[in-house]
Amino acid sequence: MAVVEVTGAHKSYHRRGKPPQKALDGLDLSVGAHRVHGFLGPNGSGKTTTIRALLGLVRVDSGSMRLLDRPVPEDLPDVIGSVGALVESPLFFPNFSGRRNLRLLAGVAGVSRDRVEECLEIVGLRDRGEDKFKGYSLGMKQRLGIAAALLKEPTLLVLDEPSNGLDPAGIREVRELIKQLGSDGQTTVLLSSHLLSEVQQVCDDVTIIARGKLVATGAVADVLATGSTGDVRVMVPGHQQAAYDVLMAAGFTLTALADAWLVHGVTEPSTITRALAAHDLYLSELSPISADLESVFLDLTAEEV
Amino acid sequence: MTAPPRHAVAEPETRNGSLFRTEIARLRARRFIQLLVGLALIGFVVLSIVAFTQFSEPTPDVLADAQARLEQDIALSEQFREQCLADESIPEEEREFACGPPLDEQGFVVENYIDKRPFTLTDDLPAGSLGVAAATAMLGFVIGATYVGAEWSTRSIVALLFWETRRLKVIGVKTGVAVLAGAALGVVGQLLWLGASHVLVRTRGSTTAVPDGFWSDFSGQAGRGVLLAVVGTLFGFGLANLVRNTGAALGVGFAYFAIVESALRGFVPKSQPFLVSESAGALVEDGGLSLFVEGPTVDQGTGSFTEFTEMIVSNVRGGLTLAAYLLVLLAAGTWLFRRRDLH
Ligand SMILES: Nc1ncnc2c1ncn2[C@@H]1O[C@H](COP(=O)(O)OP(=O)(O)OP(=O)(O)O)[C@@H](O)[C@H]1O
Ligand SMILES: [Mg+2]
Repeated sequence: MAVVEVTGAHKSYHRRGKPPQKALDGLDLSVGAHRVHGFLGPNGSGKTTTIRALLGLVRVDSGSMRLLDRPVPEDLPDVIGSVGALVESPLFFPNFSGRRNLRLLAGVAGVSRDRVEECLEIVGLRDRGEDKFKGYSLGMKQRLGIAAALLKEPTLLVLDEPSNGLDPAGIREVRELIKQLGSDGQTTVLLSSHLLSEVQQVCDDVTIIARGKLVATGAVADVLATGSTGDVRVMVPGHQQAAYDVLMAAGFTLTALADAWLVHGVTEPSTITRALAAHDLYLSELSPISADLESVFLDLTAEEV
Repeated sequence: MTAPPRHAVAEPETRNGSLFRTEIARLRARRFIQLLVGLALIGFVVLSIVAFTQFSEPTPDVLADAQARLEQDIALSEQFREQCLADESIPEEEREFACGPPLDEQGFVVENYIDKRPFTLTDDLPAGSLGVAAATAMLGFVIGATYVGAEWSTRSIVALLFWETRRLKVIGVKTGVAVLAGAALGVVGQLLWLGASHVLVRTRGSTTAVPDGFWSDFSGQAGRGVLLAVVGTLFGFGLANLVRNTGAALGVGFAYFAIVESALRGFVPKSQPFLVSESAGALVEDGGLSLFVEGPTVDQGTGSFTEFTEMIVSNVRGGLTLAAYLLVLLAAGTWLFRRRDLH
C-alpha cells in the first residue's frame, strides 16, 4: 500500500495581472509504507505545492491524490488524525509560549497534555517551553514545528525542509530523529529537501522532481546507480591532444577540463585504457566521476532546460 | 532528540477534542483582547464615578429652592405674556402665535431648576444603556477583528487546518465564538450599568416611581443592546476575515464611520435609514429611531424651503438592515475561506 500516491497532478497559481505560474505539471509521487522517502527538487520545483495539495491547503487543477489509501482532499478529515505535518516555516502565535501553542493544537485533536510534554522533550524544548514563541531562535521555532507535527503520533509524518535554519548540531539531531522514526516500523516519513546530502544520509527512497514533474524515483541506491552516467576523468600528461584524437576516433565524446578530458558515456572504463594503450598512450589518471546524488540530481533536473 | 514514545491511539471520543473549547481558550488568552477588556472596565469605572458627581439627591432645601425659582419664572413669563397680548403694535390675529401658548403647557419642570439633577431610572437608565450598547458594540468590533485578524497575520489559521481540515467547520466555530464573545460583552456591559444605576439611584436618585411597563420596555432595549454588541463583534470578525488583517479591518471600519457615513448623511440624506449607525440606533432604541428626511423643495412666492418629514425606523427594520449587511459580509468571507488556496 502506498501511503502517499499522487498521479498526474497539475497546478497553476493564478495571480492578478500576471500569467499563471505553473507549479505542478503532471507530477507523480508514490511513497511506500514505513520508509523515509526523500522528496528532492531544486527551488521552485513544486515540493511545497505538492505537500500543500496533499494536506488540502491548495486545490490541484487536475490529477488524483491519495493519503493512507484514501482519496484526498475528499477523505482528508478521516485521515488527518494520523498525519503530522510541518510545512515551510512553522505557524504559531508569537506571543504565546511554545507550550501554550502546542496545548492549543492538542486541544483541537484531544491530544493529552502529557503528550505535549513528551513532544517538547523529544525536540529538546522542555526547558524553554514557557518562553514566548517569538523569543525562540530560528532553530527552536523549527523544532517546535516538528514537535507539533509529532503530537498526533502520526503514522505519516510530512516534513517540508525541516532542517531549515538549524545549526549543524540541530541538523544532525533532526536527521537522527527522522531516521529513528523511519525505522520504528510504524511511521512513514515524507521528507522534502533540496539538500542532497540530507536525502542521502536519511532516506531509504527518493523522488526527484523538477519543474513540477517526476524525474526519477526509487530506492536511493538504485537512483544513484541509474545516475552513473559514465563520465570518466582522463589525464594523459604531455599527450592530451593525442589522447583526444584516439578517443574521438574510438567513438567517445569528450569535454575539456582544465588539465584533463571528461569522457562521456563510458560503460566500462577499461575500454579507455585499452584504446589509449593501443597507441602507446599511458594514463596518469582514470577516475569515474563518482555518481553521488548531487551529480545525478543536477543531471536529472537540468536535462530539460 | 529521541524517538517519540508511542501510545495506543486514543479512543475516537477523546481524539475528537474540541475545536470550540480551544477557540475559546485562544480568544481568552490573547493579550490584546485582555488589554482591551481591562481598559474598557477601567473606562466604565471612571465614567461611573464621573456620573456619580453629576447627580445629586434632592434634599428638601434644594427642592424648596428650586420650586421657588420655578414659580418666580412662571410668574415672570406670565407677566410678559399678558403684556404681549395687550400689545397694540402686533396685529390682532397674530398675537396668539407671537406670544406663545399659556404657560402650563410649556413644561416647566422642577428638575430643571436643580443644578445637579437626581438620577432618574426613567430617563437615565435607558440613556446609559444605549451608551453601553454603543460602547460594547465598538469594543466587540475591535475584539472580533483582532481575534481572527491575528490568526491570519500569524497564519496560525493555516496550522489549525492541519488539525481540522473541514474549513466550514473551522470558520463556523470561529463565528460561533465571536457571537458568544459579543454576547458576553453585551451582557456584562448591561449588567454593570444596571449595577451602577442601582447604586446611583440609591444614593443620588429621585424617588419618583417608574411608570408601568418601564421594566419590560427597558429589558427589551437592553436585550437589543446585547444584540448590537454581537452585531458589532461579527462586523469586526467578518471584515477582518475578509481582508485577512486586523489593522486593515479597523481602518476600513474607521473610514466607513468617519467618512462614508458622514458624506452619505450630508449628500444623500435618503440613505440614512440604510446606514449602519442609524440602523444600530433603530435596532436598540425603544420605539425605533426617528429620522427627519428631506422632502421635496417647496417653492412659495416668499422663497423656497424644504419640507422635512419624520420617519420612524423600527427596531425590526434596523435589525434586518444590519443582518443583511452581516450576512453578505460573513458569506463572502466564508466562501473565500472555503475556496481559496492557503499558504
Ligand atoms: N502562492 C503562490 N502564488 C504564486 N506562485 C506560487 C505560489 N506558491 C508557489 N508558487 C510558484 O509555484 C512554483 C512551485 O513552488 P513551490 O513552493 O511548490 O516550490 P518548492 O519546491 O517548495 O521550492 P523551495 O525549495 O524553494 O521551497 C514556483 O514557481 C513558485 O513561484
Ligand atoms: Mg518549498
